[in-house]
Amino acid sequence: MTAPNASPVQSRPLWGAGKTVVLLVGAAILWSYLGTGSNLLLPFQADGRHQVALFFSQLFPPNLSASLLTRALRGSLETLAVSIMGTLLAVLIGFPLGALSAYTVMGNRRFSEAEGSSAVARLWRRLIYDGSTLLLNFLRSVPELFWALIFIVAVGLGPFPGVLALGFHTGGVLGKLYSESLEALDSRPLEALQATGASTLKVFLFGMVPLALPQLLSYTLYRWEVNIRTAAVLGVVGAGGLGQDILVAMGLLHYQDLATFLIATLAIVIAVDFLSTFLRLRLIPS
Amino acid sequence: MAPSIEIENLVKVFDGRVAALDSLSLQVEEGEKVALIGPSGAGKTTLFRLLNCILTPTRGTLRLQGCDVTRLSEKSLRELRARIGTIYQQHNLVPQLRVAHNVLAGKLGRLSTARALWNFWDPRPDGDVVRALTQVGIAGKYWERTAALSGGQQQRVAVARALVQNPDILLADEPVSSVDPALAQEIVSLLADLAQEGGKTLVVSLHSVELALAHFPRIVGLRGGKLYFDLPPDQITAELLSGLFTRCEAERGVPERVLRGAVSPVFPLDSPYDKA
Amino acid sequence: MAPFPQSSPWILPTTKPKSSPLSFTGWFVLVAALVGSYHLAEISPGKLLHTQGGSSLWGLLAEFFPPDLSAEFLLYLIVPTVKTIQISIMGTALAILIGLPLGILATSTLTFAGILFEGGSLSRSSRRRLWMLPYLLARGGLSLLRSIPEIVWGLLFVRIVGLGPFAGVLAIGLAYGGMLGKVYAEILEGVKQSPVEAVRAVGARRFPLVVYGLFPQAFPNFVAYSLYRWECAIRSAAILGLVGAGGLGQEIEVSMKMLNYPQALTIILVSFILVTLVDRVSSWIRRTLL
Repeated sequence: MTAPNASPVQSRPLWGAGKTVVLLVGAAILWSYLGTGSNLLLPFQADGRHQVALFFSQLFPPNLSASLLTRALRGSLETLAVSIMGTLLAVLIGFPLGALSAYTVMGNRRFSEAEGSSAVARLWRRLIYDGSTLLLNFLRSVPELFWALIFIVAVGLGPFPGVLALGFHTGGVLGKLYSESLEALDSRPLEALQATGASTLKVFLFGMVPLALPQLLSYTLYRWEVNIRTAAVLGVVGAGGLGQDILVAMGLLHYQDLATFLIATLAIVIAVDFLSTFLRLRLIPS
Repeated sequence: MAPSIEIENLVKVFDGRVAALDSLSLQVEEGEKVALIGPSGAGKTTLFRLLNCILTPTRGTLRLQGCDVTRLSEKSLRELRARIGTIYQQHNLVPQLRVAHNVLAGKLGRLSTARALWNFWDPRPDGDVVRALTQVGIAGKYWERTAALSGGQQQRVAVARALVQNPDILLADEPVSSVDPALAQEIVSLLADLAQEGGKTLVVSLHSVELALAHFPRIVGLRGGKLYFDLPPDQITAELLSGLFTRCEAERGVPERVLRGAVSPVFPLDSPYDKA
Repeated sequence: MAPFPQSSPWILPTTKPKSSPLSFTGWFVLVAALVGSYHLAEISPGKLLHTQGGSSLWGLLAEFFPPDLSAEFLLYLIVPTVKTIQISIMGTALAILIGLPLGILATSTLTFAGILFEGGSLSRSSRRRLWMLPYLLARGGLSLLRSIPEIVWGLLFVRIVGLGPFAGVLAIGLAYGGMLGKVYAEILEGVKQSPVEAVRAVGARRFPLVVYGLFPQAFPNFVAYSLYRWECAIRSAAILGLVGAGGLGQEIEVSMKMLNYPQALTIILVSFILVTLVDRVSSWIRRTLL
């Protein structure tokens, strides 16, 4: 490089924040690699390859006997039912909580500052807003399978605790997504509605909900796609569906049955993805 | 010696039906400076994309520095591209990168893959780069993010990239349509001077007829994908110009000899791959 | 001024125009699906009031309180918590390692279509024929990887590599690799093509061209989406223990089996804090890097 005084180009900034982050992330990955006992050379070692090949060869051919297919069908339908009911419950939980935790609905800095309200009313609104936001955070942060463990204690084994688990976790997720889309609405039509003298509830029902509906529907369908995957595994803790069949087949080392259930899982997940895309195109104007 | 650019009956059809260039013939000698003017949709951008070997002609001949582009392998085509520099209307810089990387990208045609990757990791300026940056007056911005620069500064970065490339032919597609008039004047004379110094062939398309007439000894008018005139500036009359730019609905943007099946009057203005 | 011509009297429509998004059959299918699901899922709201043991739901839930916050138990939880973090980090790293190459193969603008392949001796159609198979295989592979839930991958890998965190890493790596690869391909296809064209016009070889012109544009979105997936991975890492893949999930299963509900609640609270913490770290990285 030329001498600093001769070059009109400044010398390079030596150390940026970006490099620190890259270094930290690298160190974290190394730490995790060692800590988890990972062995990424597995596919390149004859022994590892043999293990993997042995396991997957045991899956073939899948057991396609009529009795097993009936069981797989029954499990698939149950999984589908749990995902539908769970998503429905999530909407019932998420919609009110999401509306209450949207500042455009409940907060004190709304699209119009002209509305006069008493200090007590403002405090109430603040409390409800903060409370529902916190509740949504908690519902969301506890994974579905942990909720399922709790509800199995409460209502016993079977698909019902699975529905409750999906409803609670997804309710938290949907509530947050709903409140975000209610907050991101174009405020001008809402101001116009408020200017006609409509109450907050009427502005919400006749202004915000219709405006946000396509987005809300889209989020709901997206979560349904996620829920079908989760519903398929809730059975591993005893909450019904295909997961239970998978667990049993594994425990009994019936790998050819397992293959059938895996195919059923794949089929139902892909079917729901298609159905959801179809409904999205049909119900949501682009 | 072969002419720098040799075009004979050049035709470019997009998607099998949209004709952007229709039987164009043109010859540019080495070291010549040519200004290209014409209404939008005349095929200027398409001509530039053919000249820098991004597109291949549908029909006709295109010879650059004596090489027939339709007969070249991928490798020789790449080597030919390295000898042709282009400056774009929208700069076409990568906004997320530093100025350093965008300028050094000009050298990619001459570097091995390993060297190019090393430069990406450690983009130090060498003598060429420092000279180019000083010429366009943005040496102080070398380590900045390109997106943080103003439009005029970004255009200077694009010029520096072309200078670092050190091409035989310099193409500039509306290089000044997004900068203010004073800067436009400055950039056009900079390009003209640079071409003069290095004996490079220069082809510039310009929105502003005044700039073209003031700086270039040869003016080519393009309309509907065809040559409209090819004259020195003192022979260009007001009638010719109004004929070039008047919008006649019947022939607006549509070549007179429409190709068989060429019916759509839609002309791609920028890269047809940008769908955003 | 009369806005309407006098000659045409007002006629209001007497029937509501048909605007339903679903046909009659559509609504019928929807209702049937809901009723069928209600029965198949064995929904019985009554159980929430009177549970099997005769005690109420609230009575059972009260058994989770107060959480076990003894120093001994909290110290014991440090190791599984750290393992959970490590599974999530290594799992995401593996997912990137799997998703990136497959995602690149699944990008049509990098394999056979678009500006990179305009011109040259190899015609478009022959290049398409050459690359269509790897492209479709990558798409199919990614779809397969992400359609099997990570818990199921976990079950399979516990059988293959044995109990412990490595099975969790593999499960997250494969399932999330499928998701990342698909999104990477979408990001790469959405990149602005004009800067790529400019670098190509300089005469760059294909690999440097991709490094200089294409990846820098995709990079911010890559980072943002990968970090989002890491936030999801910490949740997955916490539950993968339920099938024997190490970390907090394994501890919660033990506590539940031993009917030690206060300990289970503590573990749930710890994972809640962990998820919140990871969200913070991830948004810090996003801010600093982008």
